[in-house]
Amino acid sequence: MRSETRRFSPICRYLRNRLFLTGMIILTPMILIAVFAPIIAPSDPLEIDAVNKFQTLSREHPFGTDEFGRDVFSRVVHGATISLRVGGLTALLTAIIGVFIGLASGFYKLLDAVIMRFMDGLMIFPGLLLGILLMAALGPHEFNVVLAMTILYTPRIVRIVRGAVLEIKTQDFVDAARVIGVSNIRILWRHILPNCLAPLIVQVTFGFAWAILVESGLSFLGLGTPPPAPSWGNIISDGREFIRNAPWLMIFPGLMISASVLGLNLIGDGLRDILDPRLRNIRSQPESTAG
Amino acid sequence: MMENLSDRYVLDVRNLKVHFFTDTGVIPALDGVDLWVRRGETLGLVGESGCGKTLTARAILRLVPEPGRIMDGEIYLTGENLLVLPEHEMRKIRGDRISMVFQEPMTSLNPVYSVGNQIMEVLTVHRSAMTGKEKKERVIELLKAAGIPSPEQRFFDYPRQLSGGMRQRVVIAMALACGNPQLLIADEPTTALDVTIQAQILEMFREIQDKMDMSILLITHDLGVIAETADRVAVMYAGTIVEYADVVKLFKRALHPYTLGLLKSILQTPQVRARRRLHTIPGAVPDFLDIRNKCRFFSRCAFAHKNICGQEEPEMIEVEPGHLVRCARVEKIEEHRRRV
Ligand SMILES: Nc1ncnc2c1ncn2[C@@H]1O[C@H](COP(=O)(O)OP(=O)(O)OP(=O)(O)O)[C@@H](O)[C@H]1O
Ligand SMILES: [Mg+2]
Repeated sequence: MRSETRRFSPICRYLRNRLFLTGMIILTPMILIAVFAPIIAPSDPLEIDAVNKFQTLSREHPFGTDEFGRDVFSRVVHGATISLRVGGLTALLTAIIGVFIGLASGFYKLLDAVIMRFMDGLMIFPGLLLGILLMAALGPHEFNVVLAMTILYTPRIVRIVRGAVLEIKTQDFVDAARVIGVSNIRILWRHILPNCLAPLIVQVTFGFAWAILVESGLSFLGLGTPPPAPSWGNIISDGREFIRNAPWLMIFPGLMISASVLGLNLIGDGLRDILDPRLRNIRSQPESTAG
Repeated sequence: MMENLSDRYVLDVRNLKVHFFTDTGVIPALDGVDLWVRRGETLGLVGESGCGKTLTARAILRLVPEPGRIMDGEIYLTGENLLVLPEHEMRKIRGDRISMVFQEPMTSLNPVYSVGNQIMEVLTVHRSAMTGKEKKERVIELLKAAGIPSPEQRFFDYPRQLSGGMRQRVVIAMALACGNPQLLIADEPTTALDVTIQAQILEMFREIQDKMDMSILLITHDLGVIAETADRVAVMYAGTIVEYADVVKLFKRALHPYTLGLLKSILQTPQVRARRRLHTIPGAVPDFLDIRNKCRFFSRCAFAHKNICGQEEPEMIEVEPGHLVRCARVEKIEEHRRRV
């Protein structure tokens, strides 16, 4: 009666996946750095020290100092907090909004036509261009960066959720739920949503990585998190004039961006394989990378 | 037919029409279906694939799939016309007064919830006054009644951990969760199961029916199942009922040429009998779009007469009490029967 297949504990299943495991090994330290930045950073990331400008790497300043003598190591560490916060918040917001719109769109035919035209409209703009426009309109503020990126990325989540809903709503168990008198709303929440979670989680992970990249891109153009806040994009932006003499200003934050994006994409790929191997069509979105 | 007696019947369907509005045209998939089921009896609904059996069941629950619409007719459940009820009233009826069991127990359970949780949902929807503990106790009782061993443990099992037969029992437990449905619709409930399990499940239906005085609408391809379980039989062809009779009478004195074909196909060829499928009537179900103004069975019928059957759709006639046939050539068929 009970199936014979051995069931590994869920955590085991995740850790047996190489992609996921590697991604986690890369991302976990990032998260720890972001959370404990005030403890890890040796000095205030905003503290100006005009005497010690452009110091190269040393014991005291492991990543050197910038044009204002600020400790780059401290700035990069605090940058992790900002970049992961902005990326994470964007991922969360797109997930929440995308789920609502995607469920409605996939389930109600009339809404679908309207919503999808609107989403297509958003998606035909090149990501960064629309981002620039939005930031110019909204004004510089960390939350506005999140907002702009949410507007940019939500259509992708909507597409994924809607696709999953369209597939799941034709399944027999949805019918079976109707037959026992379950209302539409309850069918959506209880029967359809949980079955859409796998593709959603995968896409949101990619969205997280995407947001970190786009935030850096916007900051690099001076349209992201307003300076002097040390987001990684801002640090790079500050350092670009001095790339010949002080390359460390760009290298370290650049490495952090690459590492966290790589880590998240690996996790996304891993989750895709673990949760549902049929989801191969969901990929990270390299064409909208910016910076 | 029996205007003021409609509440003698648990289910009384009259002139039910369901059309599909497709890009290529309107398909009259149900074209005037009449059915009735008495209290405590089992009505078998037979007919070949695509004739509209499942659609009839769904229409009774008012769950016709897109792009279908119920165009006409009345559906009385103990005298109350379901087609005029608002949707929220109809929802109260589904799963409580009318339950349905599907053909595929593999896919009719949601993979993300334990079976106990899923049966509990019926109670959450229809018996909101029950506490969580009461619901759980009731579910365990139901699982036990459905013949599932160690129900306390099975409560927490997920559908994939159960065999097909066990899942079908879960689905049946779900159909009975509210206590006493007036009508249980079973759409090929055993087709997906192997023969021994099939027999057990049918036996279970019988027991439940005896205990609860419940009416069953049993949809099947399988005349063997009909012979064992049904009290009365409705034979469906291309969206309408062509013969309606007592089960004994149907096997002894079927009159519609289509019914005769069905019976012959299980009596004559052992392979078909083994598979118990009805594929051997020559020809195929006609395209719904070219059956107007003649008998639907015209092109496949051995008894057809061009001037009679090719001119208009025959009326349902009552050849004796409780035995109805939609055929204009009944005399010819009786004559033929006497000769052979
Ligand atoms: N989505 C649809 N679009 C158009 N026509 C449909 C649709 N769904 C069903 N039909 C029509 O309804 C008819 C009846 O289908 P139904 O599922 O009720 O057949 P059935 O008798 O249950 O067959 P089976 O024995 O194979 O289960 C089909 O022949 C088809 O013409
Ligand atoms: Mg069917």
